[in-house]
Amino acid sequence: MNESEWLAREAAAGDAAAFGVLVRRHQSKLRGFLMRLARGNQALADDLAQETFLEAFRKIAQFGKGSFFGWLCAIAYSRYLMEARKRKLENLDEADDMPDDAPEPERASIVRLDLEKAMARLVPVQRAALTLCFALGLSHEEAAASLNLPLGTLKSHVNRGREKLAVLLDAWRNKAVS
Amino acid sequence: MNLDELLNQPLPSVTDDGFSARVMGRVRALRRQRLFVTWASAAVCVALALLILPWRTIGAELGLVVPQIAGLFELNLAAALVVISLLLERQFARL
Repeated sequence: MNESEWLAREAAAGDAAAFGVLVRRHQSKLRGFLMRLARGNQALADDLAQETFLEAFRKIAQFGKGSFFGWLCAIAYSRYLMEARKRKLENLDEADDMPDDAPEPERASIVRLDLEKAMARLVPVQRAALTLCFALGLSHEEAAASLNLPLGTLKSHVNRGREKLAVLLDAWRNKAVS
Repeated sequence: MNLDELLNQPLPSVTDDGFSARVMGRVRALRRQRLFVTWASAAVCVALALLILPWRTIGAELGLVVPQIAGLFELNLAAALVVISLLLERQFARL
């Protein structure tokens, strides 16, 4: 049992201080994950992160084994989807057509910004899958559990997302060079 | 930098800036609310029991039964065992 799992058990037994440690420990990564899902909308990401932690506190007794952060991400992802549907923030289904408005050439050299812009073009499930598997270092199994997907589906979202990102980043790089 | 390296870069760290304190404030409010609901439900149940149950009849029946069973050896033994096991459990929990 790792420390987060142990703290979650303590919190389930009524120790609010243990839950406080979990919040402080995971807030940065969770807010980063939600910020990427919300395509840079920090206010929305922070609201969703608060709601995620509250829901986690309510359901802490239901947390079983495994990655506590993965479990938090599962709550966060379903909250984001609910909010996106409610506010009609974006098309949640896979879109085949990708708009081709590239970032301005002078900004194209800022690789990180490019990645975030390209990420924002992906459908939420691909954004989430890539972020969980790469930037947040979850295993494919953990990420599949977090997104409530079969392992094969998760892997195909990761592959398709990577392909789309490569196409977008290449197109922007070529446009910036020419 | 290739795509995998780019994707593997950790997300930028987000400073707390009172976020955890705000979450814990809401958690404490939620706990107070839960506690209130628990105690209020218990109080309502007790009040209903006081109103509905026939306390005089129950009292009269107990007055007849209790003196008969109070002297039973088996009952006293069971009560003593319960008390001893509770005390031992507390002692072990402190260790």
